[in-house]
Amino acid sequence: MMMRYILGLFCLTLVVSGCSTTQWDQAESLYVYHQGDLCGAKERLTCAIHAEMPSGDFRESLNSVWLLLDRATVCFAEDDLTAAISDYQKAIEAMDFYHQRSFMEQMVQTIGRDDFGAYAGEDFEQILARVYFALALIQKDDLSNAYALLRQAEDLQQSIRERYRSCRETRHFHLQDNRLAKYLFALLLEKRGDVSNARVLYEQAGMTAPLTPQSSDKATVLVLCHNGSVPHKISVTTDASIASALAVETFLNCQGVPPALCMLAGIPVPALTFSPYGMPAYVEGSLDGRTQPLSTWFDVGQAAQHALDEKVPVLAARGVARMALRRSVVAVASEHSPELGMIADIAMLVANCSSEADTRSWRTLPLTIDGLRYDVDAGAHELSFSVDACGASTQQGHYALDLPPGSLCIIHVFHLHQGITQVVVPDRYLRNKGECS
Amino acid sequence: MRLSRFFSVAALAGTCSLSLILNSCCHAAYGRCVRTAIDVTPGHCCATGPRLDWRYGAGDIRIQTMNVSRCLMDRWYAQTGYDYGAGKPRIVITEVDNRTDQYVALDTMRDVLESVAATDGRFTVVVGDACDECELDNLMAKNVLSPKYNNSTRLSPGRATAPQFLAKVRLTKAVSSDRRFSYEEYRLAITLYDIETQEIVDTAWDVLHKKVCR
Repeated sequence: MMMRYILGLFCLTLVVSGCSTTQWDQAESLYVYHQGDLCGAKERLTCAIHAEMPSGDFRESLNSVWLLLDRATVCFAEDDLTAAISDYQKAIEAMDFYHQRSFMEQMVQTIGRDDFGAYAGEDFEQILARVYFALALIQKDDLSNAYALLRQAEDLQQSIRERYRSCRETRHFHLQDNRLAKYLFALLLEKRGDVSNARVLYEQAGMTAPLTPQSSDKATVLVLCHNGSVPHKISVTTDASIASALAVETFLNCQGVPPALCMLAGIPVPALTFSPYGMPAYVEGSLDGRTQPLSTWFDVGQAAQHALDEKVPVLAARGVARMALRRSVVAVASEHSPELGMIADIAMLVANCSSEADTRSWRTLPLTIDGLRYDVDAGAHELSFSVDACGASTQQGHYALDLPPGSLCIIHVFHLHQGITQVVVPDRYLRNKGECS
Repeated sequence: MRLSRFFSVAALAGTCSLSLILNSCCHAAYGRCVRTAIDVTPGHCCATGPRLDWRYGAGDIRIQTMNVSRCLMDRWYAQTGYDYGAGKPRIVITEVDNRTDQYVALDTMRDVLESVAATDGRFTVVVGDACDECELDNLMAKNVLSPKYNNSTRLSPGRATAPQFLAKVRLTKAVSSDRRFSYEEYRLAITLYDIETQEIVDTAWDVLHKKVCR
């Protein structure tokens, strides 16, 4: 009888204290990405994807969303737009699939660990995935589908707000407007000639609209800098949770329940930490000698912090329920015999110490997305930019552009790390195709 | 005593759930199903409608393109009395204007339109995109370089050679919703233009109504 209990507890410990190897792959591929080795990062992510989804179906893996989004961004920075578009499309499908609520999954997360459930992406990540997808389509000159994606992003923001309002748990939640999505949507509407709707969206975005309606002969150049590195999640155990657990143990001891060590592990919750090398750089753009600094159009770090602050109370409550269940197992075992109680206590202590918060996220996002716009006449132009990161030498780039009337040229500058920058320029607008400096 | 009972119940619940954990861990989907929608277009056969993917995609476009192309070809053949044994008319699609909020790849459109043309058997289709001027020039160059298709859209009596049309495809969407469902209407319109004068020859559209669970 005792052996059965011991075996049962042993199995329970194994189940709840598993360590996911994919988390290690994410850290490694991210390190390689920030060093500027995009091919290496893509290879590592591709290996992880093949291991998690052998047949390529996102339903085979709980981590498909962040794996696909990470790889899509790496491909985008590498100018492999076809692969990026394919990955963004699959990632958005996976997000929609895993966003469906599952009671079974919530129960599993409560009993076991938070990362036993699927990662469906934070709300701001869902919108950004569509924005990046639209940007990749614009680079491919597929403005029609880019418009569709930005419209989808806009509709999604509204439906998320409605969902927050209708649910009691989330009634106090607040979704920050993605100004970049609105701005790009307004820009595409302006290019289509729908000036009145474009003006409304520019006002909602709170960003400066062109003062006068642009004629169809004008070309638009956007310089978008994906600056720095978004803060990543770590698992922390606050002193307050340990103090509360000690208080509960004291109360239980007064009621005659033997004390247990397993409660001393505390309740893990996610927190954000900034990479010291992922701080944004100062970027300036210059078109035909007109130099201006880029301004922040969307602060991804702030959106991530805001989203996490709203979710932490719910995650902490789940942690409390999990701890109560494990403490119950120790108490029942102690009633049978003190030795069994001690074994159960040690097993639950191991389980609690190895339980971590869900630290999965889309980690190839930048800290901020900065932008600058020029409206110019069609023809030949000279574009240059400089990236000035603290502690690293200033990097510069220079491009000779040939812009047709009514065109939209977006130059993407990926500032991955101090001193490491990747630039993506549409080939069709380069005067000397294939040559960049 | 009460605490003891509480701990016993909680431990029992945990043990029962352990088996569910082991089962559930084998299935990443955790009981999630692929979302579907119901075709509630008036006039379609079943009362409840066939199950469709909740996203607007190749399947929906195929249904609508078959309806629209059948309508256009029936009308054109009835008006002209043309016999396609002499050569099938060719439709050159120059633009796919997607005004919905769903991503529809040009390759998907091309595959669907070509398969519909093959199934119908009364016309052929070439799909391009006006955004790519180089591709459009190539398509138009085929008109000049191909003796079989170097013809007017309008048929001259007694000189029945295979005609050619320019065409545009436009996709639009309207949506309404109640507490439980969203009702989405997708309209696919194909407009044929005279290849010389660019005047509208004919147009037809199809509306697909989908009921999606929110």
